[in-house]
Amino acid sequence: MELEPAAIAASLPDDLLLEILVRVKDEAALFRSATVCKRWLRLITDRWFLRRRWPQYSPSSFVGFFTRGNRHGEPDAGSLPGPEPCFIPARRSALGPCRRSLGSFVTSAHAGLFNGALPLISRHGLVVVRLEAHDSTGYPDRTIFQLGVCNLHAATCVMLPPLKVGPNFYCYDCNGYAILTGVDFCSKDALTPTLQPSNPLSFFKVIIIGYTSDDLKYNLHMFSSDKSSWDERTNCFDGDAQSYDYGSFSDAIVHNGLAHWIFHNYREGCLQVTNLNAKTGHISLTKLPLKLNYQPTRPSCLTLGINGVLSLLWMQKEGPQLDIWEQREDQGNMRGTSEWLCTRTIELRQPVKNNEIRELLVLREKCGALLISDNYGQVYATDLETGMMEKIVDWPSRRSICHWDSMLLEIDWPTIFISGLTK
Amino acid sequence: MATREAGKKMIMLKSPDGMEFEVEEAVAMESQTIRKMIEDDCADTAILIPNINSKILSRVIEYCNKHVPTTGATGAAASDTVAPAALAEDLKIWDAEFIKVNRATRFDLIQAASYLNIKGLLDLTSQTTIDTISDNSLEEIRSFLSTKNDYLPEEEQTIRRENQWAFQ
Repeated sequence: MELEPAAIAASLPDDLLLEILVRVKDEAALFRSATVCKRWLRLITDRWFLRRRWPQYSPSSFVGFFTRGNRHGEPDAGSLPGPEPCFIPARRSALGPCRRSLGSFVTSAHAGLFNGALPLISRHGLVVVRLEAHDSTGYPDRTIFQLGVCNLHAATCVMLPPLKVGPNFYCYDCNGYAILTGVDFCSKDALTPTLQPSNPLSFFKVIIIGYTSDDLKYNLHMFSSDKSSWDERTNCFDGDAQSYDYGSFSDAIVHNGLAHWIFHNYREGCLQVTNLNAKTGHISLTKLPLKLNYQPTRPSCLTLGINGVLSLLWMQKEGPQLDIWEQREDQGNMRGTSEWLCTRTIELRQPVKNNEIRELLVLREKCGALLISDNYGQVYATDLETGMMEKIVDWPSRRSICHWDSMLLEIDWPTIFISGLTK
Repeated sequence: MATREAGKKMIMLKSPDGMEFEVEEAVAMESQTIRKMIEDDCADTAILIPNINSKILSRVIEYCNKHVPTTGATGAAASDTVAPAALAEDLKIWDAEFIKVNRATRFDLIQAASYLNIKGLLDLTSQTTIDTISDNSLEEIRSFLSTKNDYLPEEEQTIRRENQWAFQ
């Protein structure tokens, strides 16, 4: 006695369907299957289901990085396709196996919007890019700092109010940038899922610490998506430090509503961490007491270890070894120093032994993946657990790369599922 | 060996359509659900398995017979003669043959594996459905699972438009 097909599907109870869905490995396929019918949507967006599907400490994963496009027809740009920022996927990226322009993600943007744009920072699939601004005659206007926030999953771009800056403003590594989303402002209760019921990516906050004016002092700029203008605080470091004293800001590390950057203090010859409370705008500075043989040309890289410990990644000069230093105190004292200990050294392992590689340069890190370039301009994604380096083959090898020109992208799957499928 | 044969405890399983199956206790305990009943002493005479007809129940027993561990405190003999790798390979081939059934039977087996809590059988029987969901279009998934699309066209369009990454 065979049952009718419709009766069969109806007879697969929810818990059985969940057993099957939780075994679907491909994230895009799982997302798409939420549109099979509303029952599937309800099952797939269930928080406990998402928790079970992504049980790791961090539900985010590294999917690739953005770099500048081929500006004004540079002859040495190799295989980069055009003037827009270009996404270079990691192996097994959920965003497809091919290089893509930023515009291919943001289909609502008008053609040419991203020409010459520079991706600065990303979080939860939101990407902050500096856009080229033009004066009334159509020439590039360097005194306007125009940022756009792209939502790569929703394919939209929000323009922020333009900031007026001095003509000598240099937007690359002299400034610290951060973006926080609604997820970062949720209450942190370990027992209940922290996702908000409404779309947590519709709220965001963009933060800039940098010398935007001509007095060479550092200013703090904060933009909140529920406001229409920037909040500004001048001389935010409360000192006489000037723009040429500090440099080489790292990527921001965001954790528990705080943003952290590491940068070089040239005047005192040390590394310093800035801690910023994104709600209040309160800033504290922590000096690192490390006697590292630091060079201004070698950027440092901050990361967040397991249990949210702030950690510094430091490439040894002699060999392919990476030291991980951990901050011992939860927070550094205001203007104080904090204790940092080298807790691990990782041996970096190349896919193919190449004796010609003399120097490995740390670029940026996200979700346990460290981007490294060698003296041949090749770029590797390195697993911080195993030290295995994996070459990102699509890189145009004839162009050199630096840390401000390699913006790593992560995906926070539970947030993407909730925000993309529930209204 | 003779004492083992003699010492084997048998269990009676009954399907709702009235068929009775006498199986070794060890085979029946491949099912975590039945194991719990036996351990809780709820199984002195016969166990009624609700919702699983005799045709499906006989196939489930066939699976458990094949997959019951041949090693154990008293049963080391079987693994002495056959290498574990060869045994695993043999099981894999057997599984592939076992799952060559029509769709209705497969879903019945999924349901039985879930109710009786037999993890290996659940993995085996749900794999085709997982592959279908992973590799096919929405229309194909719907037709494979005989699921009716209850989205309004506008609702489906909105999700597609706002989540283009997943639909490229």
